[in-house]
Amino acid sequence: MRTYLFFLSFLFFVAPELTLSSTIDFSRTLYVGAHGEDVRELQRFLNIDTETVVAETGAGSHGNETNYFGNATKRALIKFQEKYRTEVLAPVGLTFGTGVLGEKTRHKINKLLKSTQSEITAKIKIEPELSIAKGEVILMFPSQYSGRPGTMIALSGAGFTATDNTIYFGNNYTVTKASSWNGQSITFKVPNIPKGIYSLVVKNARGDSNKGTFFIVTDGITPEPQIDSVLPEISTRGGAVVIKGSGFLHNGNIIQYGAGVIKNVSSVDGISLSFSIPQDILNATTTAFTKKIHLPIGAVVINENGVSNVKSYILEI
Amino acid sequence: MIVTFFVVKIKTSSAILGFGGVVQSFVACTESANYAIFIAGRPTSGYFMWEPTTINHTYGSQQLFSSGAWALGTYTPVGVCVISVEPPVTLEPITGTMIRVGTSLAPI
Repeated sequence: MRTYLFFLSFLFFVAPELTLSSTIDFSRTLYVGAHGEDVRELQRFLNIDTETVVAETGAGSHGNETNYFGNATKRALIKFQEKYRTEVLAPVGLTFGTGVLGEKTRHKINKLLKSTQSEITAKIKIEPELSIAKGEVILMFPSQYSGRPGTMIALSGAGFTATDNTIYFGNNYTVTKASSWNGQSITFKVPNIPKGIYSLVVKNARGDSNKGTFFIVTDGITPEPQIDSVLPEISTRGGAVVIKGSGFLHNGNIIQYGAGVIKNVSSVDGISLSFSIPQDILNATTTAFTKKIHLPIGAVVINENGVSNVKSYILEI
Repeated sequence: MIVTFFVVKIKTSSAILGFGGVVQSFVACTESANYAIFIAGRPTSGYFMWEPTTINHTYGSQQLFSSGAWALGTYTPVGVCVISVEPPVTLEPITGTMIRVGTSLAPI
């Protein structure tokens, strides 16, 4: 169980695909048998909190949410209702959750989604827990790397203060008075700032965080880059790699290819990108490998319109 | 006929532990055909072995070999990195061998 909880928590952290629509407003009564995108959004919402996940693996789990309200969704919703019993159940004279997304439950969820300070008491743990020296603020990564203004995102790290964290988007834009309930996570809405790629820094009374992570503010209209294939499937040092997909810009594409980052890659046609894997990548300092090994790595394309999916391929050394 | 049974209790390092931190550097262990990846984190920093032949699951952004990416995962507290045989050189200490690992994107 501990292992499953750990995987759930680290998948939450490292899978930058947790996206909640900032404009979703649950308006229907949902129950077992219901279909729709609001069901999918409900599952995504429930999966934020480790205490109310729909499923740990398979359909309904984080990243695999569906548009069908089944018994797993019902059970997760019951847990949510009982967690917020005083606001959801008590007002209508109930003690136990019903598993029906009725008025009181909808109101609570919509209230949480609209809140600028996180009320989501998700138990997200980094194992092992970081022991932070006084005066140190560590910024690790966001819950998602792109989104339009108003999107609720979470930053993971350590050394965050309970209140008064200031999040810097580049040098010119900030989110002030951001709170952290556990010192390791800050949840806030993306500010209404121009579209673009922003480096992130967190500053509070303890000091300034490291740089190293980023966020792309999108317009919500222009499609984000998408990778369909990486060829060849097994690449080698010095070898040419072609990424096929869509949403690539004429200039300014960034490729993270699993063993490094290549900036300002051009795309002539918007659907392909080419680069070469450096000849000396991951080189041995002494002798060469006695036999070939295959490293599973992933390619990601980043530009001002967002972040692509991760496409796996093999680097042969 | 005398049959003697020897029951040997072998204590294995089968503990599964968690690790997390930022990927910093790599050592190619050419003779043992694996990589030692230095991950700086707390409370455990150190070299974690990536093994191509073990069940190794890489999740998330799969940027395990990109410096600056954050990695979280589980490991067993055993591992060996052989850099050369003649002369015999092994990298020590090895904190453990990764079982599963997820990574963030690398900095840009």
